[in-house]
Amino acid sequence: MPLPDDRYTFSGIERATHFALFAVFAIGVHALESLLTLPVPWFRLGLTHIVTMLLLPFYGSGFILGIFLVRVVVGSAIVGKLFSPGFILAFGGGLTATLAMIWIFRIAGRHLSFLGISLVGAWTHNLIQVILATLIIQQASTLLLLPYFLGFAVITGSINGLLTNRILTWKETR
Amino acid sequence: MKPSGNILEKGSKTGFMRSVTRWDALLLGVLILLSILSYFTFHILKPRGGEVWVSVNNRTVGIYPLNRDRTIQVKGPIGTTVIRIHQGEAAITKAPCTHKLCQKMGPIPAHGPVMICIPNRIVVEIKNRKGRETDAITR
Repeated sequence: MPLPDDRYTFSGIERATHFALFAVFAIGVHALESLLTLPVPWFRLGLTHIVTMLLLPFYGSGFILGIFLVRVVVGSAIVGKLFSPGFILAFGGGLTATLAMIWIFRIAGRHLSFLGISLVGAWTHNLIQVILATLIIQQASTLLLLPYFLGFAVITGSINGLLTNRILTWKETR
Repeated sequence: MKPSGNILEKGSKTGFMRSVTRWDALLLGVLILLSILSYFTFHILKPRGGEVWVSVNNRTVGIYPLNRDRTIQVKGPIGTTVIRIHQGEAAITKAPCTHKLCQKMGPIPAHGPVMICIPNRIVVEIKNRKGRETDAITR
């Protein structure tokens, strides 16, 4: 797979086109994922974070954050959950997870594969989500859910991380 | 920003496990450990039930915290009913009526079920501070 070298930068119309394509891709994944029925409310696989991770090696943090913002706003609007309590949780969790993944990729990208990066993202996402839910409901006992959410985060984070590892080596191994 | 070397460069492994490093494994272990630890830590926050409301003839005669063990004697129209609060549960242990339905109802642990003694006009109920079972519902 031809990869961009260190100094390769996208600019102008090329960058705008890439942004539009990846935004649509992320929105699609977001919408498809919310069609999945899962046994626990609020419990999602976090497949959209795979899109974020795929962008990490190729684009800057502004580009990735932009994709996240467009994805979460437009995606929630399509699904019909814009500005609902669930949206606040998804937004807060997703934003911190995206920032955490950008940060961990920057400081430890040489030592971690996407498994580690995905775990950090999933953990951050669920941690912030439960804290936000506690603030919204205003009852400390909501934090009792935290251990379960953190446990789920380890499972879904591992799955997503391994999938991302696989996707980025798709062509070579075929 | 320099793209990472490790993630995209060649490794000997292929497929899903490709490029997984020992730091990944270490991180995975630490996070699993932290998840398990948090399970034990947050049990401190478990709500300690609510209050036991006792009423005779539709008049509340006493409110008692559920987390303190004690025995309460309540006088009703046909005799004395004994209510026992023990280990976060309330139960009617002695009733002056014939059927003893309230006694058979057994200990009630939390907001929801109500013990009623119709002959003696006594109602024992557990209420939490907000008086409802759910805090919020979302989808």
